[in-house]
Amino acid sequence: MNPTLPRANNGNESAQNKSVKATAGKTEFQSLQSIILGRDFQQLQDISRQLQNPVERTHLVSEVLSEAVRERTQKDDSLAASLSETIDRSLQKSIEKDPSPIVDAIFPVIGPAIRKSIRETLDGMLDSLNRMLELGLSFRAFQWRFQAWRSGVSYAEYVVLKTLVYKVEQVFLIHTETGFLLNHLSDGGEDIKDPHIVSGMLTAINDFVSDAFNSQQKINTFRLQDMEVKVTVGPYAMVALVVRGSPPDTLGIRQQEVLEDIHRFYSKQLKQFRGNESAFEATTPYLEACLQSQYERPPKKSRWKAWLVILLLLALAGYWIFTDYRQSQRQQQLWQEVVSSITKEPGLVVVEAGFEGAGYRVSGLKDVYARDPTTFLPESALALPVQWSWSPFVSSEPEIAEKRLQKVTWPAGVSWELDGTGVLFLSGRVEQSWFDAMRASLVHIPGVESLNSRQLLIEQEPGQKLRQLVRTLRLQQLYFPRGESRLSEDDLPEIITVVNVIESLHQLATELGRVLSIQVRGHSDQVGGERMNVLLSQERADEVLNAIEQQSSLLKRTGILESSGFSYRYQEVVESRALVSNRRVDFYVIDRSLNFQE
Amino acid sequence: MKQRKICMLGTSSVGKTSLVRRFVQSVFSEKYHTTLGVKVDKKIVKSDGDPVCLMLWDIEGEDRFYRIKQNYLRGLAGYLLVADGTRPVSLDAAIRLKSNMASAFRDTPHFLVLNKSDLHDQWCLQAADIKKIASAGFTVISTSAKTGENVEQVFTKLVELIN
Repeated sequence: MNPTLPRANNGNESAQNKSVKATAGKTEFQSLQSIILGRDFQQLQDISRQLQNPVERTHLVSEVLSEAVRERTQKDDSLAASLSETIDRSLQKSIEKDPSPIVDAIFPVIGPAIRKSIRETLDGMLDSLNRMLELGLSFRAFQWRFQAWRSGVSYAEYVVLKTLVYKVEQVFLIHTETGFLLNHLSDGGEDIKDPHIVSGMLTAINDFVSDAFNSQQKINTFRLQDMEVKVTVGPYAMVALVVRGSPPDTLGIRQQEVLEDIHRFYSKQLKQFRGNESAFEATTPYLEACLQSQYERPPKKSRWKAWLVILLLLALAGYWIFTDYRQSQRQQQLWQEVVSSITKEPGLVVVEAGFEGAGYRVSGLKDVYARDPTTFLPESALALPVQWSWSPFVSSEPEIAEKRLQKVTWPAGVSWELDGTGVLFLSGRVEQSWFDAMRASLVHIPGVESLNSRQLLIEQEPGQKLRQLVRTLRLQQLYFPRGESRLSEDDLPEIITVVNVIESLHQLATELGRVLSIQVRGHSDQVGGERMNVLLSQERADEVLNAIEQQSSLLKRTGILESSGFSYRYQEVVESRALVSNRRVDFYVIDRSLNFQE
Repeated sequence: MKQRKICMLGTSSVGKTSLVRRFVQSVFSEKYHTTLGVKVDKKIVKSDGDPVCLMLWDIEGEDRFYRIKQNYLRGLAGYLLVADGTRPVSLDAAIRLKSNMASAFRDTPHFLVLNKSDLHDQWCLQAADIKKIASAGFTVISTSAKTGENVEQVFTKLVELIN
């Protein structure tokens, strides 16, 4: 052994010695324990180790956990109540993290649940419809209506009262000692006073009764006509139900269970209650279990009425849809007919036709002579109004041209016809002046392309004819050789022409009531003296006048002719003709009635 | 919301009901006093900014031995002993009422309310009466249900004392 070692470890030696001693002491103590306690000592050590070691402790609990849960669940609902919050949170966390496992898990139950829900909703609808029919149309319904009217309440209220078996309208959770309201639920019904005060008064009444009868018992029930207040009192809280109608016994049992549950799960809050009601808001689900109601239910068998009504309603709806469709088809057809008729009508041009806003709309062009488009609307009126929008235009269609021609003032005896190509055929007898005036304007009527007046006899007017004859007469001149005043045989045809013209003139003037006088004027050239020439002119005029009167006894008899000789000077002034042609006789017509000379 | 039960105590005709009526809008008829001997009313007041629901139990409750139905006092947070300044006997009654209360209730916050301060000139309290009040350790507040004087304040102070 190294001699330096004990010295070098000098400091540790004493500690080592102590440790050895202590170990020896412990071992001795353990030996003593095992001698005294025997096998129990070992078991105690095992139990202690298991309790201290978390892994072993977990193992121990896991061995009995499911049995413990089962046993406690059979005993009461406290485990479910304790776990509900944890389960809620776990579910919430799980869905937040990934909703798909929950969705997958509940998927198989969602379908049946929805189907069941729909089935129940339909059942409920059928029931309520059936009930409505029963209450609305049956003899009993009429009886009830009459009684409701007599009692001065609404029919609905009366029906509720008649069919209501019972209904819990109010639930009070009241602190027994102070009478403070801990929670309150209401399900319609009549308005009650402030629930806090009602709760205080309920407690006061209960206290009063206990005091008055010197009993620790409380009031369980009190009734007011069809209203009943059921009170269940526990050590710390009481539940009071305001019930209308006659509740079944099961309601009392339910009420008692709810009170017990609240005492079980809120015992700490109830014991420590110092006036703060917010701790009891969570009791609402328990109290809701008391909000029960029951109505008189009609027997299931009478559901056929509901089915009948549904079928009837479906049939009515089907009929309505069918007639509506038919009606709209008919309307559409009518409208197409109207548009088609308007399109075919001369003088109307449809540019656009259709449905706009809340009615029909037609826009287009319209000639003033076209038929009023509204007259195309059928007698069985269209269901919707029609809005017209027409711009004026001039149509050249033959039908419209004919209407325009009808507006022309035609003289009697004239007939006309327009053919398809726009040729206007005129026939009959017409005066020249009318024809002259109208010829241009007729061709300008749209639709009239040209005039055919072959069948038209154009008559001259008397005045015009007279003027024509005057002009003809004025053109008649008879010429003489120099110094001669005798007519030759060759002049006879001209004399006869002049006679005819003058006779016509006389006849026409007489018809027209005019008095004419014909001046036969003789003229001479400048050869010779003026005096001689005037005499020669006179002779020439007399020669012609005699010739005329020889040819026409009429003219001779009437004496409308007169002769006069003119000097050549006169002729110079009047017109500058060649003097050679001045050896002549011409004719002037003087209208004595108008003092007019031509 | 916190709830507090306050009892109004005192012999008849001292004005308890008038004080409550001045303080709250009553829901129930006064006839409950004669049938039940108690009428409950409610008033919401603010204390330190928080609403407090005061349940006011107006207890008619004394017989000729000045006993109160102790059931009505259960859970009370404070009480007002009401006396009429014009009737010294009502003061005696108030003192007797307090002494008849169960010891558990006796020391909860309370005031002695001398009502009818509007008739102050008709008050006939003697020196002995004042001595009695002082020896009984009352905090006295004079009110008038008629004019409203101190009515709000007496309740507010009681609430402050309770909280």
